[in-house]
Amino acid sequence: MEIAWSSDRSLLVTFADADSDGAHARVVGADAAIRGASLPGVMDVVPAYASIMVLFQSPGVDHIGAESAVRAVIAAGFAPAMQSGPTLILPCCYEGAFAPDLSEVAALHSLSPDEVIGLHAGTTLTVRFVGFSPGFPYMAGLPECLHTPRLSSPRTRVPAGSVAIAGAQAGVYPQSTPGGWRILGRTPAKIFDPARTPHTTLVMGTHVRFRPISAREFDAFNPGEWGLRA
Amino acid sequence: MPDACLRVADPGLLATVQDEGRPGVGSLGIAIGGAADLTSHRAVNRVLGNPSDAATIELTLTGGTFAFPCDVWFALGGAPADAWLERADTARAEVAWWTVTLARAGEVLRIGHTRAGVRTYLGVAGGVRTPVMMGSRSTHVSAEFPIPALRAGTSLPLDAKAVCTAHAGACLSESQRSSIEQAVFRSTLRVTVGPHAETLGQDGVEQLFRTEFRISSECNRAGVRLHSTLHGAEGQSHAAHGRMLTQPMAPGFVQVPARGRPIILGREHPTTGGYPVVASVIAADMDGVGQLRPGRTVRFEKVTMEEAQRAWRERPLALGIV
Repeated sequence: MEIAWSSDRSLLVTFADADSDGAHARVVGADAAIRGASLPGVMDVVPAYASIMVLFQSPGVDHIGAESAVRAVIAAGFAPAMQSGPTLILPCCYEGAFAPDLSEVAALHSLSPDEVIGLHAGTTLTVRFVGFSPGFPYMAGLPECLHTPRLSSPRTRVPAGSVAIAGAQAGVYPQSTPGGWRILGRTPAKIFDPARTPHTTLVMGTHVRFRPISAREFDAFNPGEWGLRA
Repeated sequence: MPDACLRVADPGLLATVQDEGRPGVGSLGIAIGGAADLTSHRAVNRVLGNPSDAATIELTLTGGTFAFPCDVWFALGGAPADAWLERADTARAEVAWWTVTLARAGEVLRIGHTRAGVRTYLGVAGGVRTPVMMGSRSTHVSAEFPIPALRAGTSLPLDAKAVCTAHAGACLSESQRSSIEQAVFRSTLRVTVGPHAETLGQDGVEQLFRTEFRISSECNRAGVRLHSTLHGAEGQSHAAHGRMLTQPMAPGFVQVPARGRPIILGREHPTTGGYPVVASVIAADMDGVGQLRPGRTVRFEKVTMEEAQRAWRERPLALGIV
């Protein structure tokens, strides 16, 4: 474990330099411990694959005080935890304009588009953390034969609901933003809604499976009925 | 009495409702956000006698036009521009910066292009009363909540009682104005060395602190991209880019993507990212990031963590406001 003074208002706590179940279990445990300690001056705690950022403000605490407080919490011990949440079924349409990169991804791996769909929808993915933009789930568990590099030139606008992959990661774009991940399909479900509580159900530890739907089902989808538990 | 409101006639390039931001939801992918130039936003609230959580309107580069259906005390601050109040009889009165001014029902406020900096703040007595989500009225531009960026025709609710109570003519002193302007319109940003500075190599780090970077037009509330390339750093940064695991990000981080053109993260930054962080703008200079003007230049000055903390502690005294 390493703590870096990443700025005058933040500490970066790094557990490993690669994603693994073990490293992430430590992130989940340490994240809960640091939050639970309600350290003075701490404004936010933000986890990712194998690291946690602690944002603080002064007056309240400086970098030395924040580091020793975080070290004390970690030294006191915490239980590494695999967060095991519910499994949610997310509908996904892999057809036509909803899936602009499907055939290229298939070609890159010498698979047919149907085989790619079968692999993507046949896997239970796990949300490691929510990052980048509001509600964007970074998911692990993609079969190795689908690991694909990002687009060499990112799109300036990815449509909201796009279901995408990059490297070993799988994700869903909750809003229309720029993005370089390869788009395999689109979900009609609204995965992030700031007016709803909770704002998103795809949180750290949630398991996700995609259910292929047709373009007709996509159009008829009622966003209120999404996230059916398996 | 009709409900008090403010009507947007022209939002300019981008106009949003902003306050101090929403800390505590970073794990949902939501940065703290808030006014890009918090000092100017706070000073506008201060001169109006508003509570510190009051929301103002943040305008970007090209000003905007607003109509007042009722009498409203207001004040302008931040990036300077020409501004007028226009009446139906075509008479017009120039509006002074950092000064509480009364707009009569039926008058129109026109704010022109900024002469320096980027972001102008329009505050009203009692603040803009748009919905609060997750503890803040601050607009998240890409996720469009609590309300999207302002459009022509948007009507913003105001506090009917507060809009007509303000200290007429209250204004900041000359010394307060000049200390705010010195603090927020900066051509040098103080930075601490970032967690991945070594990816630049020694030449790259020297270049980072020697280069006068041109500010590109690719800038928004999420970040500011610089034009100049860190040439010596290109190779190393590229190698690091391929290896780096996505990690959490903070406001002020200076990232260097594979092509070597640095990006300074703003207050509405992506909460995680995968580029090396070579430097971090200190908290005392973050308002300066929000006022970096495309086409101008900026330098990075290296300071220690202790100097950064001292700059922050001394800052409210220098400004004469908290």
